Amino acid sequence: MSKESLLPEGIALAGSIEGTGDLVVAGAIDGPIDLEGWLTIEASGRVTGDVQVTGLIVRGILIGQSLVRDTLRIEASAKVVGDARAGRVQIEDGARVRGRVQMTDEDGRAPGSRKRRRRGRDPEERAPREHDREDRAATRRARRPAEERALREPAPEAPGDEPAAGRRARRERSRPASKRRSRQGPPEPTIPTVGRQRVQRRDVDPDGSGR
Amino acid sequence: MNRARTDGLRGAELRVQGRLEGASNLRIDGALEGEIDVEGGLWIGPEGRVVAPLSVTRLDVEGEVRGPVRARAVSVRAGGRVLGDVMAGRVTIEDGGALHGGIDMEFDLPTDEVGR
Repeated sequence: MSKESLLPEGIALAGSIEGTGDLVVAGAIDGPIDLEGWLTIEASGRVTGDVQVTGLIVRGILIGQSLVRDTLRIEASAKVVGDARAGRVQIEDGARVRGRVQMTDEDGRAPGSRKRRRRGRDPEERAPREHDREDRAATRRARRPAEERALREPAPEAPGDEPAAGRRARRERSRPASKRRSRQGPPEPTIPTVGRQRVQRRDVDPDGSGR
Repeated sequence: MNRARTDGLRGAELRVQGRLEGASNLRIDGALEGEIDVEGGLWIGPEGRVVAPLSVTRLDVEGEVRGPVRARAVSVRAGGRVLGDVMAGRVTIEDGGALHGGIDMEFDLPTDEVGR
């Protein structure tokens, strides 16, 4: 028996599909698709939802994030809105795409998703054991909380297009206040136990009282 | 006729959850749970397992259906099982097919036999 399924044109599914086998969508699916197999969205097809498949061919419309273990092919007639992550990506001339495209490395991990987090570490530490992974994660969190959080959170659309100044500003915002100041100049003097306040210079008389 | 019904959700390994609607013939060989409201023929293959209220033009069952069925014509093939009430203009159950539930067909009795 053929393992390929077809959702024909004229049929709409509001719900999810998961399992093993190839699926061809000529109709409409509004919901997530999780397949151990290839998904083909025909020119008449429309998928609204996140897609997790072995391979993906888009000739119609895909609105949603896609995670493709093998190859993603976006053909000329396709319209894709959403971030895509795939081992290999082919986009034909004429295809409309709005979203980030990431090609995963051999481990199936997106570039930067994990390596960047490890930068500057000893080679021995690169393969953590199960039992100390949590401890290490905790240390990492303590060391660079804002940076870690930024990495865990999904990055905003097309960070490459953003001007460097905007990127820096956002990084600054996400840093703890004490660290932020160090970037902009020397920290303002603080008086312990009283809290942060301006230290008055004796040689300048701010309110002109002439004391 | 059997050959023509190639459109469908095949493969016993495929599980579908949700509402299916529209106008087309459709064949289901996997598992579906939810609701089906389709204008056209629905064929449920030997591997098909559908748990849903069905509203279709024509239903052929070689697998299993659980849920109330509304159709113009229902045919339970050999090996097929329907568990639920069937409301249809025509119902056939082949030898080897099973139906557990009520059948509701609309028809008129000749007035002279019923009396007044």
